[in-house]
Amino acid sequence: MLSEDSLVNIDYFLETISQKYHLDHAYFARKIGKRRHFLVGYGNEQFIENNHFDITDNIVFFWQTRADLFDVQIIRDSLLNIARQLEQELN
Amino acid sequence: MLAQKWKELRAEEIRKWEDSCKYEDFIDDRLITELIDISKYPDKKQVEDIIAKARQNVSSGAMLSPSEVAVLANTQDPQLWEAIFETADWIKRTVYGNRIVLFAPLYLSSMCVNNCLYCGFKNTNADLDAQKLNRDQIVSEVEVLINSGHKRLIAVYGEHPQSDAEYICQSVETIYSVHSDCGEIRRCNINASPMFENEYKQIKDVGIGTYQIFQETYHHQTYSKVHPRDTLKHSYKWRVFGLHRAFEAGIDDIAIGVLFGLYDWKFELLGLLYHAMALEKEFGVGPHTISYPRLVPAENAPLTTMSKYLVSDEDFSKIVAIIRLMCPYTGSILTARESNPLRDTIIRKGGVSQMDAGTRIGIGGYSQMEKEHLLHKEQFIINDTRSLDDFIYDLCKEGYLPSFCTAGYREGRTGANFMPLAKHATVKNFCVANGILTFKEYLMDYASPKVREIGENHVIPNYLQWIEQNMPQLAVQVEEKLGLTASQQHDMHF
Repeated sequence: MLSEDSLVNIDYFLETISQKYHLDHAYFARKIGKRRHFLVGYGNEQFIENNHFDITDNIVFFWQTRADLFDVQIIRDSLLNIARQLEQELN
Repeated sequence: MLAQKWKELRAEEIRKWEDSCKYEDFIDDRLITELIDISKYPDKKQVEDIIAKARQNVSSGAMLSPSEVAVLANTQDPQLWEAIFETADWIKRTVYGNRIVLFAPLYLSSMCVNNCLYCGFKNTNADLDAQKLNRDQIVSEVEVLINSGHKRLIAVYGEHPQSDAEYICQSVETIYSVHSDCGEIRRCNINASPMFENEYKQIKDVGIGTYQIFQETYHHQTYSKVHPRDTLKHSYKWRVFGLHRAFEAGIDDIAIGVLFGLYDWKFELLGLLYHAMALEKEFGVGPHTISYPRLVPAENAPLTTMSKYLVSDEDFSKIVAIIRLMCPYTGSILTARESNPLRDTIIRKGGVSQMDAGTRIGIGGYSQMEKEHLLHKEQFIINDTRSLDDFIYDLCKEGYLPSFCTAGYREGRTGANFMPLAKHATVKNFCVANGILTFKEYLMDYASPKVREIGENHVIPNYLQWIEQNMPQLAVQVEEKLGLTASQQHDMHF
């Protein structure tokens, strides 16, 4: 389980990223077999197709946007540190 | 380790846990009984107001209060009951759409150290051929299930050192590893005994769906009677907080249930409600599903036919409908313990959202389908023996969308990310979209000609139209994925 402090930090981080890249819904999940276990997220479900990528071995980032496609690699790079931090805390 | 020694050691650990338990028992027998007694003769206006409130609760996910549920349970007026049944159906359609999620139970082990008076797997049932499936047997069972079209299982385990947390993990991994042609099991839920936190963590780490524990009865005295002293299941507190511990271990999809017929059904309904309230209060997440099995005959378990609290078909319909009104966001599971005609009626009257089909509950029962039901290997008797395909055909004739959806937990819609969708009645957008896609997959891979005909020509067009009318943007994406499914791409989902 994540600490309250981590949740607040990551929540703020996701809010910033979402505003910057026009993400309507963004969240981290932990990979556990087939399961993608929700950890923390920002925004609301849009009922459109989810996009996702693996950031680390155990952490997946899901997002939904109605905006034009952006450079996914930039987002991935921005998320890497926080995803590692998440993974470390979960381990 | 010998089962007796294992049981003794575990009982000692459970006692230690009980001594340090931080939770207060949320079931107050006297209060529940009083609530039922004081609402014995509800007036019409009171009941109508509660029905109206249940409808309003759909968009907030709020539950009815215990006193309101007691009023519904005491309602006698047939006209009011018609209104309750109609509301149950409306709530279900409003929250989940008109789909029925299909699954199969898979019994992995019948070895059990407990001696529950109502259970065919009890330790003292000398006629039971107690066993557990080895890896090869699990593979055989899962292949049969996959080849009939199933994607979702609930794996069931007795409480025994031979089927401990380690065995649960190994068997779930085996289940997920089986692929047959283009089929696979995509979600494996668990029905097993309450565990310690470290055991839940082990089980969580193999990627399970929901962890389900039935309290059986919430009435303390009855609980003690039917779960004899000197068995692990005797501890009420250990069991009633079993899902609290699961949650603390990080399992956030949890399911509750009662075995109706052990005690007064009105009391049990309130017990379920208090349990859901306790989980919501502690973790902000309520039960993913509620199950309501009813006592049915089991070998060498006379209580199953002699209990004075056996529930009639009429009362059973009421129970299912009240559960839907009291807890609108929760999945409602009606099992094949019940007969075909009753199931067909209660789907609608009770607002049911999930059902098993093609069910065999004997250990190794799917690999021996031709032998029909194997009483000496079963926990109880199955009454709806329709094949999965026949069951689906009957659902289609009634206008339902059969669904093999397992997308939610694979898309990160778990726990606190799932609850708002169900509580605000928006989850149906995914339910219908994924229902269409998974049903199409079934039609392509497994369906009989009659099911394919009704599915392709009636069911799928009807629900596509629903999506087009309600979620036009999603409809475009559903059409695209439907095209991909038609060209033999599998596992299209949202």
